Amino acid sequence: MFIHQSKALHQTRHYLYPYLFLVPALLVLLSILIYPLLYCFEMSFHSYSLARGLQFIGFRNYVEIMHDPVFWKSLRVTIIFSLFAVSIELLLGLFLAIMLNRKLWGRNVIRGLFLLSILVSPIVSGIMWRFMYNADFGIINYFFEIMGFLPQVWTGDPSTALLSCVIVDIWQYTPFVMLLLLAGLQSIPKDFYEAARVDGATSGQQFKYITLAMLKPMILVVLLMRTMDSFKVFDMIYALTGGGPGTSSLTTSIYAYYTGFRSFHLGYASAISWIMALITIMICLLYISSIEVPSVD
Amino acid sequence: MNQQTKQKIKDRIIYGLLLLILLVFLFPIIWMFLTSVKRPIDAFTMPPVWIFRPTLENYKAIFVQSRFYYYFLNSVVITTVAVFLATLVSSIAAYSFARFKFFGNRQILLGLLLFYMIPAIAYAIPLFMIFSRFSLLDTHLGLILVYTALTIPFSTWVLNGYFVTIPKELEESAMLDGCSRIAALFKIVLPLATPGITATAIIEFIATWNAFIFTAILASTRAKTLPLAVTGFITDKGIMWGRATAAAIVIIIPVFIMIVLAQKYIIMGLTRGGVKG
Repeated sequence: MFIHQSKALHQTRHYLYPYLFLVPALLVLLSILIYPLLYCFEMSFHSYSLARGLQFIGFRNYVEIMHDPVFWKSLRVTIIFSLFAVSIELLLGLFLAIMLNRKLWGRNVIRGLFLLSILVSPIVSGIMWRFMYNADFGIINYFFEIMGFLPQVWTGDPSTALLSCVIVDIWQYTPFVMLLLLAGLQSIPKDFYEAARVDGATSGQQFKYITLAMLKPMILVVLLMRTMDSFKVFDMIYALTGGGPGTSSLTTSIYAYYTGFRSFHLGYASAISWIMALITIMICLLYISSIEVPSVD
Repeated sequence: MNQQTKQKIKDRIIYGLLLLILLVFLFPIIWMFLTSVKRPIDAFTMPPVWIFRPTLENYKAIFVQSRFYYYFLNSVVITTVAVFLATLVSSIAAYSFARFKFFGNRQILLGLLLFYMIPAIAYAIPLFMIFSRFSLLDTHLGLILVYTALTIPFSTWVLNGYFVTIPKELEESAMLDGCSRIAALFKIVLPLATPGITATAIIEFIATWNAFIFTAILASTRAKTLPLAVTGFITDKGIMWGRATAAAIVIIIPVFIMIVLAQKYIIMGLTRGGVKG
């Protein structure tokens, strides 16, 4: 019996051993991410006031959100922003990746320089472009006038504010798409194209049946990464337009921020945040179903 | 014109087009740099001036009057410590995912991705409440904890991908010789995985360096980092463009240096994060 007990204990130790390695990470995640998320969920059922703190109000926040025209506008803004930005980034990035996928002089330098826009802080991008978009001394209007177009108010006009944001996002993340697609392109064996040419395929057919087909997994990954990131967008738009004028570029993240930290309706803001989190997680599940997990199996 | 010449012309046109597009992408940053070294009269004239007398007065202003050296230091300290801690913790966790078959291995790993998907504001609101209760608001420790936690999920995911590619045999033979698991991790796996770890750490450093929303909500004065400091020049009375552009360049410079020194690692880190398996 003594031997039995010792063996059982030994087996338990073996069984728990892998989890030991996870303890530091899990400790940090549990206290700084998981617990706050749950607390946010709890907060969404309360109303907060500086005088009386949190008061339980049940589902009232969620009901209010459903009837909140600004919330629905912000969802529309976010979706339109994401749709236009991501699709153009994908097309432009693919175009650039194909161009860069050749033997070029200084290709590494060129590729490195394209990195710069990805690595600039989105806050800085917002400020930078805000300066360029300025109606009075901005250089974009200067180029517009030279080319014969009418100068626009860009960030100051509700009809062009969101477009201005989309352009900045395209500027910032097209190189990222290009980078990933370039990696994908470089992993396509050259023999495929040789074999196709021998069989008499045109460049168009080669592109469709080899390039696009082999790139499909990477395109899916990029598509979903960018969609997710563009849904969460905050810094850049905050610096560029602040969500305005009015609600023309108010994304849901920014709306939640203003509700929570300008109006201090923290309970309401929590509810908005949770709805956002749920929407993003649903998209996330799509992402997960299209990738493989590199694991011990 | 023969085929070869036609091909050469086509190549040259494409190369020219590529350089043109590159110029368009670099232009905003170049323009911002130029603006930061212009005197106000030069910066706001229309049509814009391309030839002017440069000045460092904006940079002097932000460092002397706006205490930018302090915010720079905050950024350096907070970012470095957070990324270091996160990489350490993530490496250990990733090793477990890569080497052990245990219940929930695949599920927890996938679950890590969920953290990355949730918008920052969903964390920031409760953290604001929690931090204020524990007096962690506006502290370096508070920000370090948050950025460490935020870095861990994605870091673990990517490092797992690297560790899986390192053959098990090396550790197994070391352990047959009496080496413990932990020692094998530190003496064999980590040195071999250094390129991957470096790439991940650099990407996470840049991401944390550029982070805004958590500083804005959780640390607005003493532990203020650079991205928040830049927005300080956007006031109700107008935007101090000279200082704002100088500040923006100051934020970009470390990142630019990293590209120059570690481009290979940056590209490895960026593409690895998107590559499956």
